Amino acid sequence: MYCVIGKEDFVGNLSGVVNILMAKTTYPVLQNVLLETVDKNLIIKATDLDSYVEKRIEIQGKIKLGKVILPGKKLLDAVRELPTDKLTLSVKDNKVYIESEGSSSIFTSLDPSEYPEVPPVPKDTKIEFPQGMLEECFQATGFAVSREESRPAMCGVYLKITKSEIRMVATDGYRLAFVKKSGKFDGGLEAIVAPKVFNLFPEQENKITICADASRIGFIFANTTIISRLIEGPYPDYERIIPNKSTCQMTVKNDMFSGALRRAAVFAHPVGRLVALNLSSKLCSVFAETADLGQSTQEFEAKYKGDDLKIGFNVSYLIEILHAISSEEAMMEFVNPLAAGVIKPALKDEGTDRLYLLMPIRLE
Amino acid sequence: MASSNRIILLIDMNAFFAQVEQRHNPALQGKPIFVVGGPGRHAVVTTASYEAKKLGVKSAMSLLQAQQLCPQALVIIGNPDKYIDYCYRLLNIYKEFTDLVEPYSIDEAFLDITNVQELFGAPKEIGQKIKQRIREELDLTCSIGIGPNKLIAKMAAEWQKPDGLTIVEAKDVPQVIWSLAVEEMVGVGSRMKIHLNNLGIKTIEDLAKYPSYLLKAKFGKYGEILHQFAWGIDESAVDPGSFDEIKSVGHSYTLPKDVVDLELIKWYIYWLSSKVARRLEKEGLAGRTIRLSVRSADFNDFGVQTSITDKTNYPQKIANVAYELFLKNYVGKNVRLLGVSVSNLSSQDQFQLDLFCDKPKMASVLNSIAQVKNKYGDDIIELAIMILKNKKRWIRQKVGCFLTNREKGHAFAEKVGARGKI
Repeated sequence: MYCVIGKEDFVGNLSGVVNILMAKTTYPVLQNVLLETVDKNLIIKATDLDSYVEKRIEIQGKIKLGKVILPGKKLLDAVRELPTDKLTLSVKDNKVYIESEGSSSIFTSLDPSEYPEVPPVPKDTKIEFPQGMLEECFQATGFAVSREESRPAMCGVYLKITKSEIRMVATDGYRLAFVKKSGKFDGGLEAIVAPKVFNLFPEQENKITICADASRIGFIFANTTIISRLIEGPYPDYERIIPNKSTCQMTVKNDMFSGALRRAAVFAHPVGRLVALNLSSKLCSVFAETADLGQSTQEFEAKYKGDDLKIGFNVSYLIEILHAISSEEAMMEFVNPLAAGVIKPALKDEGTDRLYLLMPIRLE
Repeated sequence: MASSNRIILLIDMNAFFAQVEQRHNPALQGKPIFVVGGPGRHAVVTTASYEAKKLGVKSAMSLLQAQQLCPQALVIIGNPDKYIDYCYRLLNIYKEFTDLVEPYSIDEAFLDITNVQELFGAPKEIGQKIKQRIREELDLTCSIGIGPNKLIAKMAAEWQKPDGLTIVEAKDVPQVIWSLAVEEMVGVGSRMKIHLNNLGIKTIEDLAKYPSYLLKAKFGKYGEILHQFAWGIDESAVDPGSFDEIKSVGHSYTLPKDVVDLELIKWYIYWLSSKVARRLEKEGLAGRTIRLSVRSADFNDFGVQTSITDKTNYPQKIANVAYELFLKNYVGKNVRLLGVSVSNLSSQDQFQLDLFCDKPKMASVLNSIAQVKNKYGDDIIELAIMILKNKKRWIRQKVGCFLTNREKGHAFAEKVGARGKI
């Protein structure tokens, strides 16, 4: 195996795949990436057995075919700091040489035949997307995914595409993020996707093709292919829990409200992160207290309609939602101190619906 | 409170459970007895009376092994409630001497007597007074160690048993401990002993003179602590708060027979989790960190834990998480002991509500279950997985014993019925 590649190109593509590698695994080969020269391309592959990512880099000049596997994170560390523009990758006697001017690193390669095969691209469904749409949906929802494996379906984002809209939902049972965008799509799909996949997306791509079958989903970019096993459902019935009416409404400037929450959060207990919102048409404030630290009350300006209300929330969750809303003004709707609060942008973007639910903390 | 001229006292009740049993039943006085956790082939001696200890029986020995050393000993199934009651009575005595009392285990407590000497006399005198009170009021003996810190007090208490009183003065530390074997030091268990011996460290002096940075490199922060201990340094204060605050709630169980059957292991994990949940609920607590401990038949232990997003005291939730931990870490060996515990505890007054589970309703169901249990006993309501058809008979066939009186009744009725048919 032999090829000469641009260093920036190599580092960029390599750092795009190593995030998938597992830090701890009983199967050491999974800490490796596979490098393979095929035709005029160098292909980098990585997997955690649930998801597979493949990057293609075009090679100019002389190329000898072959494949090796190398420890991904070590390889990245070894090449990232190289001062040169180009590097040479070659294999002699089971050793992998990575050389550039004045620098030579030699890796021992494991047997490349041990590396898991990338499954074929699923063929049942094929939908094309414009650039950035999926990323934007994930930005708005991904943070709410559950990290608890005891609720596996919630560890993924729910993706539903119809001819006229795309929906993405994430929830961990305590908060729920929902985004819907209208558009024209050439196919339909319903899937629960591992959130890790979206972090593998390359930057600045023109379009993306989604392919899927009953068990896998593929995201095809110009030089990147990602294939991931779908998370088994059923996804919780999220539509049922979105309240359709409210008794109290508050409209508030996002930065002002976030600021008050962050100041109060200093005094929120590290375990429950509880803050209490005291809302009335005359005055709105947020209160937090930790027994051995002290307490804080922060008033904020808001338009409030409805009966006086005292409701507790995990302040970290609330701040995350206000951040994800990315609009100047936020609107919050409540029913009572034990029912989910609805948070959405006060002004709707054209063609986009965003909605967040946050369950309160029951106060004594 | 960590000053160089502190006076700390450790009181260690001698063969505590055995002494309590002997005091309750005069027929046992002066006889070798074993107090065990429960029946079954794998019963372990929790405490042996001094009469049995003289024959070489040690705590945590298997009953079979202990009976070989001392066949004449009487075996008594322990009664934890009784020991807890005695523990409280002892603590009340200690608290008359100082409010700085830290219970270290059910039969040991640290007392900081630095500032009470004017009231009760010199350290030795205080030690004697406490011993006298315990003898007169509870008819029990104890060993007391007195030293400039908790470490030295604890080690000194070991040197004279039973019924001892050992004082180590600050000026004699650390030389007084240096000649001892390294495993005699607090914090060095059987595994650590092997590791240290491999480094050529045999005595506490060897440990003290071993470079601290090497110990840190090998054992992390714990290595540094051990090095300080070897120099007789222990700055930790006697913490009376550790008495009131529950840090974790757990249960463990040595299985009557080694088990590989996953269904059965799952059953035990649910059983332990229900017990843990019940205690959390009684204390008004819920926790976020769930720990599973497993000992395999070859005494290979592992303990794994995970933290969940929101605190819980639901038996199903604890059990689900613990069983997941088991499946992830289990390598297919025979299981001898299982333990489930919950830590990172906080009060259950405020809780994060859930979008998909009606927690207030769930809490009221659990509350009703608790009331029924309070009235009729803990086994009146169980998780469905615990009472599946023939589950207990199935367990009895697989692992032996483990029947409640009610089930013994059923089993007896079945036998009689069968005979009737013949």
